[in-house]
Amino acid sequence: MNALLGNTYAGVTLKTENKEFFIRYLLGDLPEEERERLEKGYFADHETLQFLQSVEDDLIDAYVRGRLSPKQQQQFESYFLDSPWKQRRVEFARTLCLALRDQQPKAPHITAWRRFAAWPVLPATLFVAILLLVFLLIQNWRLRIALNQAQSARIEFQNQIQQLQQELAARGAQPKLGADWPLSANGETISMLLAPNLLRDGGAAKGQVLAIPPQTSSVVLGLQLPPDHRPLYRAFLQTAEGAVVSRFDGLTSRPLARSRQAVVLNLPAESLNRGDYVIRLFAQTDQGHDEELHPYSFTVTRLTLP
Amino acid sequence: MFRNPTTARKRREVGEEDLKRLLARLDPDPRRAWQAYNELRLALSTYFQHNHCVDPEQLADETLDRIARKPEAVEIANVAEFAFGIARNVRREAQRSKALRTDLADLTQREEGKSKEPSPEDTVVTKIEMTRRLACLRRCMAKLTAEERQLFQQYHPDECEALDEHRKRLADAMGVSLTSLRMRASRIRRKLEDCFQDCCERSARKHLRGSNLENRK
Repeated sequence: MNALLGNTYAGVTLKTENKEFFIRYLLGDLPEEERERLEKGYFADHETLQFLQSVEDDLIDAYVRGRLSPKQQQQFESYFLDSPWKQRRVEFARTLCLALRDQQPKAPHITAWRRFAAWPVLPATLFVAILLLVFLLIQNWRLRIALNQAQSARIEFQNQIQQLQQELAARGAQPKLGADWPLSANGETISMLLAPNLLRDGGAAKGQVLAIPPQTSSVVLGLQLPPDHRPLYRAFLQTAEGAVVSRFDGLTSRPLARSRQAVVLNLPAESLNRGDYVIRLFAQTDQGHDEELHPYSFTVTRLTLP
Repeated sequence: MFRNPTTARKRREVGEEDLKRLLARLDPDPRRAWQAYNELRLALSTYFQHNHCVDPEQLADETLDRIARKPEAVEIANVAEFAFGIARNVRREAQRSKALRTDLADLTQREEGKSKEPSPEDTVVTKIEMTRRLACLRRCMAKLTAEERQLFQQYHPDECEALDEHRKRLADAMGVSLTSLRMRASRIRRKLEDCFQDCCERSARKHLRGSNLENRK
């Protein structure tokens, strides 16, 4: 209450912010002069009278809610509550109190939520948590898609292998994917044991297919040697047209299962494109000359992801 | 609370000219004069209510009658100041007269007040009355405009320790002063209370008629 209610009657000026003063009037606790001053005040100024009425409302409400001090309660009952009309006002306040209690059961929840929303840290945390949750859901969705694609690729890849095996079977030869090859192969290295072309017409090459899967980094080729093996060998990897792809010197034989011997060639997978290849193998004689042995023919095929 | 002054004047044997003279003294503009009249009557009844007078409304009318009867020749510089002086005399007379007689109703009330223990029958009656009052209050609340109802409910929270602080915040939120908010809420409360008292009286009369009919059967 900031305004001085403009009461100029008999020099009286009442400051209505002094609620206590009005309460004392209503409870008969003011000295006679003060009492008269207030009464003159509300005769002269209607706002002062309205303020007195609103203080009276609050006083009655406080009484029915049991919020008056023992002294005030005693004054209220013995001084203020002196007429049936005022008793009816108390009854009204009591009914109002009950009705309002019924009508406002959810107020504390709203207040608690507003208090929560007004605190800046918690809404910010909530916002970040929501963002994180959305990010995780998107990531999960993307990973599921990638997993499905990988599974589809794997199935397709297996289908290709099966298809190739069926093609080879139809041609009457079995691919030799190093079933008894002593060197292990992992996902990035592929190995194959090649048998020599005894007829030198390249016909055997049709039976030896090197299927290179994607992401293979190196190829290990085993050249199965005839029984009379030599201590030192040299090999040339050539295309079917005769272009030299790679040369290998100072090769030595290595033992295989069942008393067989082989020469091993290591080469990067990228050096082999799709097509037919021939490996020419030379053995060093005791006199220091090179003696060409039977060639090794094979076909390279590249497996691709769908 | 408000009574038609014309009717009141006739009952108090105050002439039409007396009333016109009183209104002219309050304000030259007739509309503002009626407003001043009602405000003065309210101040008078409030004064008698808070000075232990038995019938504040009747005494307020008596005071206004006396002012109205003052002839033109009597100069009244400030009607409110003059009315306060008259009201003091009316109050003294009323209290002197009250002291000379014993009010039967007062005695009955005092006797009733002595028995503190309510009987089971009283408890049932109180509950029935409270149900009736609540129905009346809800009916009267429904008669308020939505804006009035909202303001009234916000002004009277169910449980609020710092009531003044709550109302200050409410006034700030509404962009009005606390005084203005108090006045508005007080006016709504008067309206609601008048409707409530009227409804309770009608409801009690109806109930009484129903009981009489049953007794006759």
